[in-house]
Amino acid sequence: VSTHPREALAAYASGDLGPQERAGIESHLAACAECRTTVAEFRALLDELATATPAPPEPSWPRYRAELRARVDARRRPSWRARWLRPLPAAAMAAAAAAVAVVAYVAMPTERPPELAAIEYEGLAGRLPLIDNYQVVEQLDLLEDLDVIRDLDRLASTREG
Amino acid sequence: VEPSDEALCERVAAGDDAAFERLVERYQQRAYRLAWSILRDAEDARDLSQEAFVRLFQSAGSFRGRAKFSTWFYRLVVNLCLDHRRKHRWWHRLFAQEERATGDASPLDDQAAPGADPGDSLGRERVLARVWEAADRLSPQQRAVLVLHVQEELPMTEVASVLGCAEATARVHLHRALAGLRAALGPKEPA
Repeated sequence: VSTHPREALAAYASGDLGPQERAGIESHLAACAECRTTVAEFRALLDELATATPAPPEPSWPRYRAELRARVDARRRPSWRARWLRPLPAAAMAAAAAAVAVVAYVAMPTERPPELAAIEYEGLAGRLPLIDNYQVVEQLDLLEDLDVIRDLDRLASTREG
Repeated sequence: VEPSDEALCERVAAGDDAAFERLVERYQQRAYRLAWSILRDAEDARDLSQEAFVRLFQSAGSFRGRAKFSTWFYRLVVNLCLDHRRKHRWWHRLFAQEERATGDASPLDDQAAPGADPGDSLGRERVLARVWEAADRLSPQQRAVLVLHVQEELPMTEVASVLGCAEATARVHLHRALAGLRAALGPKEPA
């Protein structure tokens, strides 16, 4: 008896082999009682498996589809990360680049005319009392006390007076 | 004329929601049953078969039509289930140990119902169900081959495509599955 064609026996028992391979197995089976027994047992098992296929508990299909629809919709909405990281349109990119250029130009340290610098120092000196009142400013709630902020100058002069 | 699965999948890739709904209707039972047969848990089967549909919705464009749509989709389902089994293997082992510790009989240790009359349909059902209970103890790949080949009636070439392996490998799984069942249940009387 030639080598037992073990792996092919199961496929043969389930009727899954092509004609050529099937013929090869059949000529082996004619001479091998052990493989004939194996094939017979495999066939009996396959029959049992096919007859006794267990049925799963049936879900509610409308509910199943509703859940699935919700899952698909959730995946369809891009996440906040994807929304923020998605490529900007060319116009927005150009506008952003222009804004950066303007800010860079304005912030660049430049030699200013001495008279302009003097005006700035003067303005700053006039606001010095406000810095003295830093504790008042610090405790202001920016949104609720907008009126107070508008009248800060008056507030500073009242305290001085 | 009803559009083919492949045509519907192409429409899903183009963003056609109605085509997706149609495919879900066609495959929901098969996907759920296949997932349940591998996992033996209704909740997990529902979850993973739905996930397979979500993946289908997201990646319908990657279906190239080289295989049948059903093969491609079954592959999605089976891969998700086998991944799930791999990730939760420790839990299943623990659960199986607990079952043994509490004295629940292992299906492999079950004897045929004493005096079961082969003509008695209930007795026959019980005896027949043992074969699938025993199949639960096989490796996930071996059980997947049984489910796809015996239950879903796919030829072995297609089983191999679903599992993403060579046909020879799928045959080895089938052989080992049947040999494992034979060893667990004892020699069978040929039908």
